[in-house]
Amino acid sequence: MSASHFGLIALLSLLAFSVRLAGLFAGRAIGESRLAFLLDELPGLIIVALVAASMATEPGIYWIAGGIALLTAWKTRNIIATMGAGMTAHAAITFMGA
Amino acid sequence: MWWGVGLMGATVHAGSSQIVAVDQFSGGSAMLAAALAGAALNLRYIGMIASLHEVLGEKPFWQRLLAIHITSDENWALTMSSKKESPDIGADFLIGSGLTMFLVWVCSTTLGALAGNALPDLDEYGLGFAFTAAFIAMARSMWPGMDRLPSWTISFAATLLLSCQGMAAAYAIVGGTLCGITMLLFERYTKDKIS
Repeated sequence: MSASHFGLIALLSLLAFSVRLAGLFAGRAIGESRLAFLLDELPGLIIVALVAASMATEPGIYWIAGGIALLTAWKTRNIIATMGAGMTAHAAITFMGA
Repeated sequence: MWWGVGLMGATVHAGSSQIVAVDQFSGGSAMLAAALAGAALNLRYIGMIASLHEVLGEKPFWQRLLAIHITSDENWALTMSSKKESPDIGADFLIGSGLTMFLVWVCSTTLGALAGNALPDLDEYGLGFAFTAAFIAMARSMWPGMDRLPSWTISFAATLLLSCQGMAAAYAIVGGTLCGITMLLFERYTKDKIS
């Protein structure tokens, strides 16, 4: 590893942590403002965005498995059961299509 | 050097940022430009960490700094969804799950650097879908009720649209979330106006 590699790691870690620190201070500022209600709403909005981003460019198999995972999650509210059902569906459809 | 990957994983702790920064740097970009490109992918953490305001509460400042460094998408989502089910879940859960994820992240990326191309593409075995399924389950736990359907739909659809237009997932997540917030504020504004 050269000095420039170390430099990149140091700089990136500083910038990445600064972003997180900005979130910490933003949370405090928003929490004391009339927009405090947004802090309760943010997690749900971010997590559906995470789901959308992870599925956006994936093939149909992913969406079918996603639908099965959603049904399982809706019925069971259990993370392990949802992961199990979703991954099994994904593997089964991939296997049948292969 | 394989240990450089472990060092970067431990100090930066942001997968997509690391990949982009290394990619840019190895492609000839200046160090600052590569680091900025990588860090910009982490912008969603402003919203995620801000939402931890109540969870971190009155913890000592050093513990809050530790908590925000070890927070990842997965343990943040797990904490927020678990808190919805059990309101007593707080900073200790976030830090405990964060440390677990952090160790797994550093060890697995280091092992990955050691193993190199000897490993098969684990996505082919459906492993990549595990995270999507976990996020779906956590979203279900956080589901607040039908009155939030418009803002959740907008957040999902906008992220999907932005990603399909070729925007990097990290930016699409920020964009989609902002659209969801806008919808929420609009709904609140019109409700206040009517009442």
